[in-house]
Amino acid sequence: MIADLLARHRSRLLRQTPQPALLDEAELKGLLDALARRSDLPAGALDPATAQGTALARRRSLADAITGVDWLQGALLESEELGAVERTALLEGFHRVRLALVAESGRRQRQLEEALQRGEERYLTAARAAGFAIWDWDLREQRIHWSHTLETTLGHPVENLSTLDLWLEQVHPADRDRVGTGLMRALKEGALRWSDSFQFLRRDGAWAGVLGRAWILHDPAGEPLRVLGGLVDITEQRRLEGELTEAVRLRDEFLAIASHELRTPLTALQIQVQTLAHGRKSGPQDERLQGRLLRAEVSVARMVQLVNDLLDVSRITAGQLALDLEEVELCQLVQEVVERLGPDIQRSGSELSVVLPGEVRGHWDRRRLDQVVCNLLTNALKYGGGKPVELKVELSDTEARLRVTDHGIGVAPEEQERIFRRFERAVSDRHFGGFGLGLWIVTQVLEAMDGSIRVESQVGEGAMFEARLPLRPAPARAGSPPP
Amino acid sequence: MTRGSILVVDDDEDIRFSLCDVLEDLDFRSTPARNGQEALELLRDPSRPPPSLILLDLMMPVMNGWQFLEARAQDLQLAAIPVVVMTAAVQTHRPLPEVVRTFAKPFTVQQLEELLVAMH
Repeated sequence: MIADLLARHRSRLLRQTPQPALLDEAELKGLLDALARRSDLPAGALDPATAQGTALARRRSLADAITGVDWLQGALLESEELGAVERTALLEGFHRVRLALVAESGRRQRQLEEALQRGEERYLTAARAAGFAIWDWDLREQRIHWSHTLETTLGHPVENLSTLDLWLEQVHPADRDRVGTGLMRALKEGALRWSDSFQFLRRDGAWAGVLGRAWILHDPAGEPLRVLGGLVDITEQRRLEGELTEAVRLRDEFLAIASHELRTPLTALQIQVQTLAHGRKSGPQDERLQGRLLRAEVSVARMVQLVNDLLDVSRITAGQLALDLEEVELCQLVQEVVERLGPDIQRSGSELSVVLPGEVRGHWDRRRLDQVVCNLLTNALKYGGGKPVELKVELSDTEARLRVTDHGIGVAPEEQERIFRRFERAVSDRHFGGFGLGLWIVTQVLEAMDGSIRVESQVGEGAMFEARLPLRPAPARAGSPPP
Repeated sequence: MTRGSILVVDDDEDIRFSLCDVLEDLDFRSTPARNGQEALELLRDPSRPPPSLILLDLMMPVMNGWQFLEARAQDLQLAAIPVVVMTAAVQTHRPLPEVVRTFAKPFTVQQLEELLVAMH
């Protein structure tokens, strides 16, 4: 009976649905079907009206759904065809729908509240764990709402810092203006975030180094609404950072003092050994003694070189690599270095071939350039495995190129970046002596003269180092500290 | 017959005596002084003939190399004697007036001999 009636009214009701729809077509059909079927169901089965009510509550707010259901009920009960029995059955069906609606929306409300509570709990716990005091500055109310972690991290009760002025009062006078104007500028310029680090007065009277960061939220018109962010105490990190900087400074100072102190006795030692080995008056007559003294002289020279390298590290890290630029003829300088390294070349067993153009004149630091050539050549002899070594100088319009090629152990591609760093070498230090400073110094010296260095190598196939030097370095670069 | 006489001013005993030894070997006469003050006293002693060259360390107690150079500049007779500065300093921050040459320690005997020959 009801089913027939509902079927007859269905199309009318669908047309009548007010706009904007209180119930859409699917909802309306669902409700009508449910009301029609409920009388046919066996006792104990889930009432389809209940199911429709639950479904409706999931899609619409309680108020909207009730209004829609009320409208449908009114529209159906207007019909004069309804007898008392049908009328009662329909009212009962609608009652079921409403009960289900209210029950479901109540459940959803509770879920929402729980989720909110969990979210709040989550952010507060996270803030506490991370040591963040979180602030939410409402620009309309001009009030700052703090998380209670403000009290656990910096000691202030939340109500004590509820305005920007109260908050800024705790910022160290030396930082206050900067922090205040920085925040205001960020708001004025429509910035999305703000960040600064400053000294902040803890409740207990001690200064804490804090890092402040915030997001600025805007309304659709682009006006700033709220500033949401956090303060974190970084005093400990600051302290560690300071200790680290101090440790590095002490290391560099130690290097400088050590190399300086070593030079004084080395000077005396070198003079004595050289006088004994070569001196006209005190030179030895005994050939065996002469041989030993020459070896001692080589050892002293090596020690001098090591101490000089350490001294260069101190100078370079202190930004005191002062260049003494003058006109230098590179080919002659190369020849001088080759001549000086004669004994080393002989000892290495490598045959050296030198290819030089006529003349390469540039504006360079003679002593430093000598060091570059000497270090590159010494490396080639050291790692060249006794195989031939080639040294070539080329000249272009604007720069000189110095290439030193060996055919020794080579450098693996993954090691090639590392070998230019301080105290690094490509191979284990057991096999080759030295501090591993040569290429680092070469790099620093070349960069100070606006030049550069690169390597091409494969393991077991030797290495080619190419130094490029502009004929006239830009003077501003000279003597600047390394990054 | 000596090639000249040299005043060696260095507070480090090893360096002072090593230098005097090697200078004797190279046929120079040498006189050691432990600091600038001692050097000035020797230079102003009328019984001693003036040296042909002064080898001067910078960092010394009592009177350092810079102070010695200042005192020397005030004294016309001393100002005529050439000075070679020997230093192990990482960087000489103060400018050195009227110095013939700066020698970085450690230097070789060969470098020293070349310099001495060039100056005498």
